[in-house]
Amino acid sequence: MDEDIRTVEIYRKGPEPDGDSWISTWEVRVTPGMSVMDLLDDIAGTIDPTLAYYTHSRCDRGVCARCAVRVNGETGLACQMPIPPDGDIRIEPVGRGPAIRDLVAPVKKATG
Amino acid sequence: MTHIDRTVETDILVVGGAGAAVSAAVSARRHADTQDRVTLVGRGKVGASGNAILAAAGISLDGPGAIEAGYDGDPSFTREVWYDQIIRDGFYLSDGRIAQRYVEEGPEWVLEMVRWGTDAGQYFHFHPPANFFTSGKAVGTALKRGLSEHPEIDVLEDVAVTDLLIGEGRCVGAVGVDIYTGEIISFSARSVILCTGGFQPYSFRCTVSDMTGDGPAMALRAGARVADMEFMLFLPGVAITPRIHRGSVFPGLATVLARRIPGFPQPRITNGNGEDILEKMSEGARIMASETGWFKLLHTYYWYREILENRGTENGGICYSFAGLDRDALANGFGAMDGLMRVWYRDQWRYQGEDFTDLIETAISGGSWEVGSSCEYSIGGVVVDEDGRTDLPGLFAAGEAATGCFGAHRTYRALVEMLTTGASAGREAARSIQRGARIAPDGESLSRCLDRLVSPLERKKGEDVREIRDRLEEAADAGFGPLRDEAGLSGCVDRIADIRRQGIPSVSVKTEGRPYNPEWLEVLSVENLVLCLEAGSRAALFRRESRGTHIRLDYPNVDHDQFLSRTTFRMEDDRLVQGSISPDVSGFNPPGGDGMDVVGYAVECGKRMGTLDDNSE
Repeated sequence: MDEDIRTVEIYRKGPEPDGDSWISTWEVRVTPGMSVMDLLDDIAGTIDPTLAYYTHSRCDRGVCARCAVRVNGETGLACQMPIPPDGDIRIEPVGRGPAIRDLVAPVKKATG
Repeated sequence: MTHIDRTVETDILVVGGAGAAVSAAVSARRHADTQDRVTLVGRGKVGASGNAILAAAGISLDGPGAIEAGYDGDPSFTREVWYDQIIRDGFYLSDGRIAQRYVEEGPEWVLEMVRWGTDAGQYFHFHPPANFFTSGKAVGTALKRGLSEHPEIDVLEDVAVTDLLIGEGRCVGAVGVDIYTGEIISFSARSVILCTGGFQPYSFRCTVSDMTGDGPAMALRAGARVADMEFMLFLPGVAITPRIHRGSVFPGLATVLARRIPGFPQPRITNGNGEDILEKMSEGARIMASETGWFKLLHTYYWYREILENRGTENGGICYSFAGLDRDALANGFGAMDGLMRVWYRDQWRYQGEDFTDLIETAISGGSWEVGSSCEYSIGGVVVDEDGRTDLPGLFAAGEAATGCFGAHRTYRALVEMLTTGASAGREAARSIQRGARIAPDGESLSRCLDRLVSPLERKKGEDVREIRDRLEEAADAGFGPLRDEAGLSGCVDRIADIRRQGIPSVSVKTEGRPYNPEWLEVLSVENLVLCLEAGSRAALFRRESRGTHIRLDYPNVDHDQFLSRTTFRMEDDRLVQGSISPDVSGFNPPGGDGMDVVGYAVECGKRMGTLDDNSE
């Protein structure tokens, strides 16, 4: 199996509007062909269940276009971005203004 | 008492964010008095949520209706023919009144949705007898456009409605949480329409993430019944590998489109040993699997027989094999397909939001695509009448969250069902609105709903919800798949009972705070999924026959004498209590006896449709 151990750094932020931010770093087993969303699912499922990223009402097929993140400086949909082919992986939220929590970007909403 | 952060007062509350919700809200708005408020509250964003955005996407009407609208329809495909086929393909378990409504009112709503989409710049390709082919994204865009034509409908997005409020024996609202802010919202409404979609308990998924049975589970907890929960429709041709495409319907869709492109060499469908699976089908089954809406059920049946008998691929699937096919012909065929797909997707080899260059190159170089069948639609749901009314006054349901149209097997379009059932429920909710003072929820109802909502947040030690989800999926995969037997179903029922008894009450949420808390949302969803899977697996265990998508290896024949009835469940003291309904198929005389399996039944349907001649087997 072509598995690989990679250093993954993820931006974290508490849920308060002015909450502290920090970077979590893990050594994570990855497989070729996995997407950034696969990687986030694996981390939340096996390493840190408190990791927050866009998970609700998601299509995983690049249609809803709501799971955007920045990976090593490049912005894309987490479900459609392959993990970088080599080296460390740094994942950050997109959007202007502070994240809602961790990788969850602020959102413009219909509210009635 | 838990603090309610916000109260929303409305008259008709539509819960959901896709097709059934939009048609329900629009229909309610059109039929309600001007002063009545209609509010749509969705878990995602309208136009970007619900399974409709992933649909392949076919929508249909009747031939004469298409001709009247200016399309090249087939006049022989009448509403009567359409209705007969829905009932027969559904193995006579449909509610005929709902199916009648589907063929009578579907065309009008389909044409309206096509107009919405066309006005928004989307393309709908008509082909006989009376179908439109388009993209799921076009459907989502159309729905968003349709809703925007009614700015007086209030819209709240990214809100998870978690339970229904009861007052004086009626549904009088709901509670939910704003996913981003974590605010707890209480909705006060005179009627509520559930349009939250179906349930999908398996590990191999091709649907959006919200198919967690929220509507049926909320209805059960509120006192309404569900039915037909054993019937799960699987879609063949869903990618297993590579991992980035896992769950995509593109491979199956590509093979369907390929059959329409002259000179396109057809891939062989092979098991893990390289044996041709189509050669194991009878001629009649093969024709029905290639030319009719029965392809989903028939391919799934033959594929899973191979997989269960240890002739699947390494990852538990089968293959579309392009080995030995003419490379130039493949390249030309895929080129023609790409030209068609670019009508909806601008970039080369793009389908939905994915880039399939890798799969196309694999095919042209003579490789294979590893695929399986994945559940695309749960036929069961909340019991409703043709106006969407449930057992509980004030509560309506529509779309995949409800049941009744398709019986035990769906060969016609779910997108038409979502539009017509939503429209019927919206209209009836508007017409039957209860005037006078608002009814407050019973104190006990309110506290129970709020307790269920917030109590997981208060447990910091206990089983991780993702482990519970894994256990649930393992139980569904092992016992509640497309091909079933007594031992597998019993095992599934036992495992689900264990999860309900021990897993759910002790599940913990380690993430602090309410704003965007995925663990918390997952707990609330998994609880719903467990209820739906319990109902589905118990109904499947009870049904000792094969019918529609429910295929029992130990009871292979259709048994009209004993099982021409719909299995229901309602909740009593936290237990699911089983019951039954006789299907209403007025005008039909279902055959007696039990001498035919599901494949034989499909071939018989083919003869009656004229797809097969009388000698086909």
